[in-house]
Amino acid sequence: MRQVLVDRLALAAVALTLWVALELRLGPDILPGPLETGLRLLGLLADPAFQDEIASTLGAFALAALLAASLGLMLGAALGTLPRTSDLLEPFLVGFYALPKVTLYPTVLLLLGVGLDAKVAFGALHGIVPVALFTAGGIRGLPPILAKSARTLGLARVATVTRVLLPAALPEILAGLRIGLALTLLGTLIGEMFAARSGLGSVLMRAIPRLDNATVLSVTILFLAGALLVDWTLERATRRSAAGR
Amino acid sequence: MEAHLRLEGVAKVFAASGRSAPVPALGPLDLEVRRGEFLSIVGPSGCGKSTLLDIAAGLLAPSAGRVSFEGREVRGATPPGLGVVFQQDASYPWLTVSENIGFGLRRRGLPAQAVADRVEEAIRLMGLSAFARAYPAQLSGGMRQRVCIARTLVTEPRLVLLDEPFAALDAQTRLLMGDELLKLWRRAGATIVLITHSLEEAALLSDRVLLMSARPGRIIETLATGWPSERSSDLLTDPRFAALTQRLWTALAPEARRALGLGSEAA
Repeated sequence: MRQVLVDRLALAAVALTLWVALELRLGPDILPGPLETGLRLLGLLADPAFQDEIASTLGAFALAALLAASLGLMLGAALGTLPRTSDLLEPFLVGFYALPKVTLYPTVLLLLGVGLDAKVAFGALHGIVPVALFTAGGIRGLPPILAKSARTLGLARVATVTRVLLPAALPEILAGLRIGLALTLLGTLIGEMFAARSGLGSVLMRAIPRLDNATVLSVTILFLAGALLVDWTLERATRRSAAGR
Repeated sequence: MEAHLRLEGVAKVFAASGRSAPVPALGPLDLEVRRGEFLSIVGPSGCGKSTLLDIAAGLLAPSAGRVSFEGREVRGATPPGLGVVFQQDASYPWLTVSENIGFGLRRRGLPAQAVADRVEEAIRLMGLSAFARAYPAQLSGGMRQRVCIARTLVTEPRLVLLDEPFAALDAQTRLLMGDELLKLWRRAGATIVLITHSLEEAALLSDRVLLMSARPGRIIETLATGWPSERSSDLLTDPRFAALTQRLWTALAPEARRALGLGSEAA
């Protein structure tokens, strides 16, 4: 554990050194250094208007994550338990997964308008498919004896899925959530960048034409921190769920 | 007397898939289990024993024939009062031993305290007291199978179907588990149907032994053991046990050869 910490600190030091070296090479206008960026980030975090932008993004992400997780789970449970549905739908889902979803954004905007709904929907669109595919794969990989024994214990079809198959596939489901929610965060940001009046994505889009690269980097760092936090939480949950097995 | 479990003309043919022809797996066979008896079904490997159990438990629809439990037809679901123990490890890895054992009970709407009491008693009976809070991954194969047996017995089934429940256990543990099963049977007064490939197990534990033919399995012989209900693995040294096992093997050997694809004159 301690060794990992030392290694990570070393890695962070190397990254910072590279950052400074690049700053010196490119000049502070193109790439502001760690010090300037850090000061800008602190300044922004103290600004109530910027805090509102963070809250707006967090709220949108929370809703999008909830949607992606619940719809993904339901879709995945259906795909995992109904073989014919899965043969029919999986090629489409894989295709949709590979599709750059920005191409769908004009349609989403026409449907939902510029605002919370659109960025939530766009974020969720990124996350549903990986959650569904991992859930379906997890359920399909389970030994048939689990469902069989549940039936002899008097569980009906739906109860077998919710009480036995989903808990049994939990490690795979969490792995799907790890990927799905990271993509949901990405989708939420992209949604804000293309059309939104609030949120960190729109802050980014306002900073870019002003060549305010310190702000751009500050937002990037915030996003990185958010993505790492989501990933870390789910990684821990995955490990805890696998602990007893 | 009314049969506790009855199979009439039951057969199973697995449908053709791709280029392979339909596979007759079982029967047609008739079978009658008497209330309160300990019945074993022995047959060569691949004779359809497990298919028979799936059909009897309502997990698999027969291609022909009819199954009835306590006079009512079994169809599409395991009827209440019928418990099943499988050959494979069916313990739920995300639940502790006591949660596993209480799983079926909790679904029945019993008060929490009643569930806890019955689970605790079952844990004690199965010798799992030290592991009540352990997860299945921390247990040996034999202990996990005891968890599964307890999970079924704790619901107090009137008839228990066991499909090779001791197959994964070593010979000594098998004998001890057999004794435990006999004790539980005497105490609970339930009907027991044990599916096994072990002649010794069948000869030792049962009131009656049914012998099955090679695939597609049919009942070829029924033997009454004549043991008193107070019996145990002490019978291993009884000359009658050796004679009984010998009779079973004489009847079964040709079928076992056929199942392996050996000629009847091979030996």
